[in-house]
Amino acid sequence: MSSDARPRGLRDHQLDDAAGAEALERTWRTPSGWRGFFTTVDHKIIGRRYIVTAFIFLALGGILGLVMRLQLAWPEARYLDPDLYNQIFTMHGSNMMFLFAVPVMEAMGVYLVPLMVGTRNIAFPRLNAFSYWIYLAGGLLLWISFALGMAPDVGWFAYVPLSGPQYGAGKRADIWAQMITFTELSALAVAVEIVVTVLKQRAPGMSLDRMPLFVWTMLVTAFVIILAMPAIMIASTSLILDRLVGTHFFNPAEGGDVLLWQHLFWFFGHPEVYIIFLPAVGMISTILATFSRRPVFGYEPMVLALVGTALLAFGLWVHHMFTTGLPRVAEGFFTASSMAIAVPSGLQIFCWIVTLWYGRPVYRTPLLYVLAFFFTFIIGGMTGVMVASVPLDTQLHDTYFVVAHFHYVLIGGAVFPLLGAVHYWFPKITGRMPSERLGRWSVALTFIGFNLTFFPMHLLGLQGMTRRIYTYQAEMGWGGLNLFVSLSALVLAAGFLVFFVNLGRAARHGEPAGDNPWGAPTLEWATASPPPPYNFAMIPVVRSAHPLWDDEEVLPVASGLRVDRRELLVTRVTDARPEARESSPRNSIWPFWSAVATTIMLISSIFTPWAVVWGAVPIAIALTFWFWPRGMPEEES
Amino acid sequence: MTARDRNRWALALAGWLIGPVCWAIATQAGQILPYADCRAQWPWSLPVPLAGAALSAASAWLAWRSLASRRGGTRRGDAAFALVASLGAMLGLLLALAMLLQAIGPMVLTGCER
Repeated sequence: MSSDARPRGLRDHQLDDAAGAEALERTWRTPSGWRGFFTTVDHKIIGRRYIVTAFIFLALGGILGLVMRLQLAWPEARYLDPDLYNQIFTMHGSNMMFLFAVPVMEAMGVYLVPLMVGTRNIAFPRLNAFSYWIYLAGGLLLWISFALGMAPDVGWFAYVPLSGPQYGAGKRADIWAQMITFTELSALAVAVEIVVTVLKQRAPGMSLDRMPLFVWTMLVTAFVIILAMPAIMIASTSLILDRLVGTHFFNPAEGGDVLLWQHLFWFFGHPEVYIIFLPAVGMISTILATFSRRPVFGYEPMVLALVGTALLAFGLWVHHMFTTGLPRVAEGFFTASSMAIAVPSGLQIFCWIVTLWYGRPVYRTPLLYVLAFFFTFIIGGMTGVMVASVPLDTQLHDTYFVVAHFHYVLIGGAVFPLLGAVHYWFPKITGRMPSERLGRWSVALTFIGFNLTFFPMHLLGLQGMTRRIYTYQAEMGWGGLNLFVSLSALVLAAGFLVFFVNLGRAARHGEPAGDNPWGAPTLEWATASPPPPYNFAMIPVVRSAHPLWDDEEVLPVASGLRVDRRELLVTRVTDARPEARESSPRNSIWPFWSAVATTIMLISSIFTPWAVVWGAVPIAIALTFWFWPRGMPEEES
Repeated sequence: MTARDRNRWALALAGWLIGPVCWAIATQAGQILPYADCRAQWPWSLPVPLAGAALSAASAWLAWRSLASRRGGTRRGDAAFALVASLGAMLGLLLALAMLLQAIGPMVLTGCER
């Protein structure tokens, strides 16, 4: 049937199942080939792309980590010169934080949140497509600069005056600062989409107290992003202005303030840790419930812990600045908040332990990753309390103890749950089961390799080994431990290799997964694996917090949505009572072209401020075409 | 929504608003006032977190009261309301604890230490 001959206003309840699915497929599908590649606004395709891209950046960053370990394996090694080493540790940190950790967590939300709340697409899907292209451009900017030998060399937090015009020659610091603009713009766009999707597109009946914990974590994380990211965007833009047009935001000689950079950076930087960690909390809760065969113990305390952690995260930033000479009383306030945040974190840990204790745990690979998380994150949390203490931090600041601490928190607290989550949702995303045997090998190798790599770094830090040194003398006595750490890093890398091989093989040759292979309770498992372009043929109606456990036989559905145009159900914030039918935008090439225009403007503005003026013209043209009415059914009110 | 409902929602949200605002003020004051502490040799930075803790605890109590008045409800919105109110109560208490911990610093230091 041609689109012109199709009847307008055709509703899902007017068709039988097969005809309804066919009509929905026609309305929601992404065209194949290059056209579909550049125009799609399907949250699943974009989410998948985000995840794959982020894992490619993880692999690249991991290789840089191994190169650093090669250099540090022996005293006075000369594999890398100091300049290249500076570039590599800057690339490693910036890549892992800005191109992997934050984007991959948001990407999981982009893919999963619409499915978990029972809607057909994410809110603002074209913005979602735009955000991916901008993120990719930021990543390419950083890595191309590295390939050209002009990568940033100022550390992942680019402190001034080192990154300022006095000491940061060339364009290296500008590339770092502009990469920040790309990735934070992308992150902010996704955060807005997630907030609106969660608050206004939940399936009927999914009141706030029935929202899956993963959805809660993504909602809270999105708010943290919206509040934290502008600080770093302002900071990086101010840095570029200092370097390009001669402003003096960070120049004390002209009334600027060097510490202003640190305040702005860490006002974003500390919440960023929780932007990475909170989604992991949702992943752990989801995996624990499914494999313990019972709801997570303490739903309310868990949500409280999320909200409390997110709030207190904004009162910790000065604990990164304890050695800058601030008054001790002021530092005490931040020590207090750093200690207080242990309360909600501890609450979560106890809720999870009780869930396991009273459940009937099935020890499959995702749950094993969660157990690996418990061990490593608790160590990371405890060393966190240690460095929140001013006297101890004064001794340990900028040593390998801190390197060990934040790797325990970030890899233990976020990467292990993420690997478990990818394993857990892989059958939904691809329709195929990963190998359990290889999964167990990957857990064992990453867990053992991680602890052997990073635990000795605590000792190196206590022995006085400082961060960011490209070599050390044999008389320091650090050689033995460093060699051990470097060899252990190979075990960790082998664990990641097994993980990638497992998923790569399973994507092609894995056993068919079926709709709900783990017997999970949440809505994403109520549809096919992989989900069709429209997610759900009928919008599910939720009557409990665990719909697939409590309504196992027949999930009630809402009907009445049109199938001849992209249409969603808008519901009330608190009790998810249906309010309206709302259209969802069709595929478009203009988010891609808008991202191209924005990329040209942002990169050019590293070289001349006039690029902001002239670069705004193509952006305005692209945005005009993006929003230009085309007489589609989706534009009807 | 009736006026009575609006009042209950306002009380339930008190813990969400008053606690965080007090804590944000106390945290900012903790950066600003130590210089005055040192000059005046009097702990100006002490009353702020203490007052904030008291207000935050009071907001927690208000949220808890609003929850008590809704117990036994059967409408769908009641469960969502109960979640919001109890979270407000717990959040108020958590931030009151954070501010009490913040008050320890000015009790034992003069503000002149660097």
